[in-house]
Amino acid sequence: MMIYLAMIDSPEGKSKFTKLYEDYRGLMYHVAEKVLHNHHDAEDAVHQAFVTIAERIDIVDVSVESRLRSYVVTITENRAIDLYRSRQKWSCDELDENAVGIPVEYEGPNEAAQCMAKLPARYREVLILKYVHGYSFRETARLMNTTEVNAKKLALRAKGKMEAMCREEGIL
Amino acid sequence: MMLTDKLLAAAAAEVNEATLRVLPEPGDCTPEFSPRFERKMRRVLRRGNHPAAYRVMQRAASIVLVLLIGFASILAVSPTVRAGVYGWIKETYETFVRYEFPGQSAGHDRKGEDQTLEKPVKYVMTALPERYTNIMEFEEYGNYIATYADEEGQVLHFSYGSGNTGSIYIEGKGYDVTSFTICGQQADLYMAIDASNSNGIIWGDRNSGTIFSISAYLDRDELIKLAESVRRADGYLLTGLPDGYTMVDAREDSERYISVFINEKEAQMIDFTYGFTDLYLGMDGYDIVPAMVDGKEAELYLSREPDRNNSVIWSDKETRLIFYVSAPMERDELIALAESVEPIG
Repeated sequence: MMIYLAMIDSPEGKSKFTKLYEDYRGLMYHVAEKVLHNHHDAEDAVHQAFVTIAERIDIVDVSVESRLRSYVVTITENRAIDLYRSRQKWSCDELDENAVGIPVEYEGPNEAAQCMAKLPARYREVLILKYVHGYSFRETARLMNTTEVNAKKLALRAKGKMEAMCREEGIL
Repeated sequence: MMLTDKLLAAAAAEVNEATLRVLPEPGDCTPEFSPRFERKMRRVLRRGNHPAAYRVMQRAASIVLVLLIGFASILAVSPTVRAGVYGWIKETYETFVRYEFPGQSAGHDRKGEDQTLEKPVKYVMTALPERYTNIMEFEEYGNYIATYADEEGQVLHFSYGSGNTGSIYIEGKGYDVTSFTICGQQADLYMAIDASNSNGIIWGDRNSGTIFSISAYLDRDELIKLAESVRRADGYLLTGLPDGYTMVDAREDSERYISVFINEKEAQMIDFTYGFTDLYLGMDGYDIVPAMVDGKEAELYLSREPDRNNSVIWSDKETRLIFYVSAPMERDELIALAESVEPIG
């Protein structure tokens, strides 16, 4: 907490962070509270999300609002799940399979999206960071507070699970 | 058919939009954040206001430290007065005063065991006025110097160190010096005769062998209050302490931290202790009832005698720490006080 804003070393980075903080902290709290159902824990998760964002402020794209919103929501959901995991004493594998994030309902025509929406939250997050935001596994790992190897494993499992679901539904 | 990247990207975009659709607009989310959260975020934002100065001053700090070390070797030649007070050595030279705890150096514990690989303990001023911004920080071999500045550019220096490498030098001329105790530890207050100079306070913790100093354009009471607020950065703080209480004792070792606050006017005392070791509480005269502190299981010791403190004890499974607060408060007020315990760092 004491260090991370010192890492934002350009005036552009500072104003970006300040704006992000002012505009999105309410939404971030809403996301964290949906996962944790506890005011105190939700605040801690929002705080942790800001730590992550501040450390990687240089890669935050603020030019498209919907992308920025997706970014802060994904990071906050991820931090909230991490906090939930620490409370539950789950292992990483248990977390990946069982973590419940924001309830997502997709009723559109894309059948693969219907399967992806049913994935556990951590699987959904890694796919969104990679395929929507275009982050490398190294960046994804930093944003998800894990190692690059684990981020790759997580993406592989996510794809594997989604493929199995798609086959079950007769999409593939 | 395979699950291609193109297919995944299209699906991810749809799911991403669906995720955002179930959430309210950012402007519609106006939760009431706790003072604790606001405080933590204020510190973060304040820290970010002087990033350039921070980098420049970090380099300057290295120079200051080098000069200080060089100066120390010259000064050590002929002290005019050398006195051991409360375990620390105070050497008075013609124009400077040197303080150190002999026989202890950074990285060694009090039992004399070699623990040179042990991470040095970091301390922070928990009552630093908000107008100050950290513009420089330097740490080496357990010695630490930090500089802060307020909006008017008036600086405040905070430093600490232990053993021979942690000696502190004070300019001795032009000050009225008074000795007293801070939280049971020996301290010297340097009040500048010339108002354009800053005042200073220096004190030692004989338990850890650490000498601390603060110099700033603050008056006596402000300096003492700031010195009393210095805590281990990995420690915990009782943030909900009621007004009127002053810390009169603070002790810590490797396993336990004990602090005692007194309200002189009301003749009342609050005790805040935490650590890894077991705590033994007397049960006679108390009703012991289960309670919750911040979602953690706790036990309340409610005194049957009205003039005795009630207490609450709880543990944090994550850190394995045991916390204890004793205060002249009723059940709910006591739990609220216990829930105000926050990690400092």
